[in-house]
Amino acid sequence: MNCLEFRRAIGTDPRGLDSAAHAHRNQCRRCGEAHERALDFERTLMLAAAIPTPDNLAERILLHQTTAALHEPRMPRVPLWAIAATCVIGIALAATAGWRTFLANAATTDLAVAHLAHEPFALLARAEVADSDVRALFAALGTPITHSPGAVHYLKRCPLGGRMSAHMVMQRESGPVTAMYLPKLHEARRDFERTGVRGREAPMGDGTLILLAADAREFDAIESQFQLAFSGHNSMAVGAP
Amino acid sequence: MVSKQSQFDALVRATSADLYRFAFWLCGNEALAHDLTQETYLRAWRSLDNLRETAAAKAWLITILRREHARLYERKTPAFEPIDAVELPESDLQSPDQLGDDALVRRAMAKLDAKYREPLLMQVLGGFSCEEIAAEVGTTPGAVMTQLFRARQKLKAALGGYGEESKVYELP
Repeated sequence: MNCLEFRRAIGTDPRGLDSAAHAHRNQCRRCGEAHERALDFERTLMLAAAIPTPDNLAERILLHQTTAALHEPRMPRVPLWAIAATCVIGIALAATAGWRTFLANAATTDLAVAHLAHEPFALLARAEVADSDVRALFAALGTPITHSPGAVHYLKRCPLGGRMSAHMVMQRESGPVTAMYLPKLHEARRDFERTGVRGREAPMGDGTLILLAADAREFDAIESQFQLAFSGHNSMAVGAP
Repeated sequence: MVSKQSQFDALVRATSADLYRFAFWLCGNEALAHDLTQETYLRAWRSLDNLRETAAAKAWLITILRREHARLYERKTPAFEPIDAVELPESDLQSPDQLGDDALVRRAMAKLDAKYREPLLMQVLGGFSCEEIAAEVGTTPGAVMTQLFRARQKLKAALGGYGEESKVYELP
């Protein structure tokens, strides 16, 4: 390879030189220097091409995909899709009925289902929340627990129906399960379904636990874990009809 | 066993930034680039079973993105400015010096003819070889090499008054 061929090669792909070009670079000082300059220019190009991306780009794409996939005729295999659809329905419901009227009239379970739309990214959370953070939130709500009720991947104190609640997401084999704990609310234990979302309401400690998911198969296990976390109080609720 | 959704999550997280950037350089509009990127991934999700080699995922996504972009023009002419007339986004995370350099280079890149800019971005952003770019744009590797060489020459010429760097970028 001569100097002209080398200069053409670095003008075409300065990062992808073949062995002949490398050999020439090592024996020709001026071409070696030219290659260094070409690599500098390449770094400048790479920095300039890398324009800033929108915040939470990946999460937005995943939300768009999970939501759109819900409307496809084939039944989804991943329960996350069904949860995301509920978000859309929740938004539509809130928009058409009027959020204030909705808040005033809706049952707690309806509010919980609609709340999914407020924090849809919660369903995608994967990092496990520290046990101490979970206990701290329950203590702040006035309903202490002895330990975290299993792996919690999203945790936030959220207003729901005029009271504060613990909003959690637990990633399970069957998909994400949303758990909302409302202190000082006493509801009868029951299973329900709202617009494709399976739910369970269960008295727990000095309050009510609401579980929401596309697939209810983990509800029994999670409910038991919460019972244990509340140190066995209200154990009558487990397995009750 | 890794589920389809987990596989897709990983794919999106690994490639979405570069795909968005490529979309932006294709259309020159941030909102449209965002929409194009979302539609690309939606199509990718629907045909994820067709992706046999994860190493080829980026090329596969860029193929889908280019088709989506082409469809846009088949449907209607979007009402936005040509890429060389747009205000290019600038990061607030970079130093003032770097910001100034980037702005100059971005303007020069935006003014490049698409037939030069596209293969250059596929190489710079996507890390594609000349053969891969040729397969993507439907030409020969030799033609791609010429386009890449000329793209760099034109950029260097456009940046000729670029401080001390002007001498550095000269080629024989």
